[in-house]
Amino acid sequence: MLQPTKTKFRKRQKGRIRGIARKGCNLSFGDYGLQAVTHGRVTARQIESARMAMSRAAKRGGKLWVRIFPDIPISKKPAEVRMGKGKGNPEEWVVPVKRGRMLYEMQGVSKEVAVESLRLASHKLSVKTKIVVREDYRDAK
Amino acid sequence: MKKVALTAEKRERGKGVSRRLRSDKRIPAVLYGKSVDPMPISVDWLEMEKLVKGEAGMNVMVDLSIAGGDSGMALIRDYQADPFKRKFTHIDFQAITMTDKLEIEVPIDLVGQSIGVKEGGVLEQMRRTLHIAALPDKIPSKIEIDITGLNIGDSFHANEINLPEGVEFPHVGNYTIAAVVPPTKVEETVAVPAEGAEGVALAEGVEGAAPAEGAAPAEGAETKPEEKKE
Repeated sequence: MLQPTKTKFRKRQKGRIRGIARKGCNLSFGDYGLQAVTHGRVTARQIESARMAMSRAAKRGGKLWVRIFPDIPISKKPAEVRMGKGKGNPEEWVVPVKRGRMLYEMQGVSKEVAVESLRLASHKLSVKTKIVVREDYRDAK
Repeated sequence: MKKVALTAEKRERGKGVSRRLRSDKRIPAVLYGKSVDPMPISVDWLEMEKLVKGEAGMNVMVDLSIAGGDSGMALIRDYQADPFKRKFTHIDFQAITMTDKLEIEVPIDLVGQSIGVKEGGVLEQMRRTLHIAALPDKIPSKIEIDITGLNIGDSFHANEINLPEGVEFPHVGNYTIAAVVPPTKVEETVAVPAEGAEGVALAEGVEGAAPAEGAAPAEGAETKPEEKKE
């Protein structure tokens, strides 16, 4: 699973996800993409699971780009522990995804295969998504 | 370069005006150029969409006629679009004269199927537009590149393109346009904690979040067993 190799601090504040994605919202590499329609946190497990689903559906053909990286640690308190006594331990890594963010891109496969792969991948994610095809698409600037 | 006609209207400056125009299905725009003072205008959204959905896309010469004003040739120099709906939010038109050379991005069209792709490789296109300099009437709608000879591991560079007459590269540098690469190999990645990482490594089983073998937690990292349970 994806996670940073080194972090400056172990724990982070929660933060909020506001607005729409102005960066990372275009098809930069491939011809097909999966774009977030809603905002939310996507975990490293979800990213890997979706990537595997796409890779298997495409029968390891084509090329795949993962456009997001989980670099935010999420802490959790253990079960049956009373409140207080400090913040819990980091348990998972997430990426805050804004509406409009391009999550995955594909190239080198037919449109049918790409759309099916991206559809399967979308079921693994915690945000709603739409499939973007370069034919009827325009870069946002 | 294809010529298309487009009508425009003058508008006031400001975001309130622009927002009202957008809600009336018009696109705020600006016309500028060497011999033209910057002029805020607006164009019809549907007309503009039809214009850019043609074969040449945005690489067209626009015969812009402004209601109650001048008319002249212009290029779509830049635009702004909504990152989600992909609708135009603003357009820049640059007034042109037929005697001045222009620097412009022209779309690249890869023609044919390469040998490498037939053998299972993946065609990766690094550049989708080409930066060229030419007189307005010499600007091609697109630049076609024949890639049938590319094998796996081969690439096509900018200096290998045979440019049409009157078209030139405005810069010296060379760059890759397309390459045929081997397909992605699936690597089963496992969470590996970084050496000296400040954060606790997250093993596959999230419960307990025990660092994987061989990864000593960094100094100062809290590794005390849970004492909070009651």
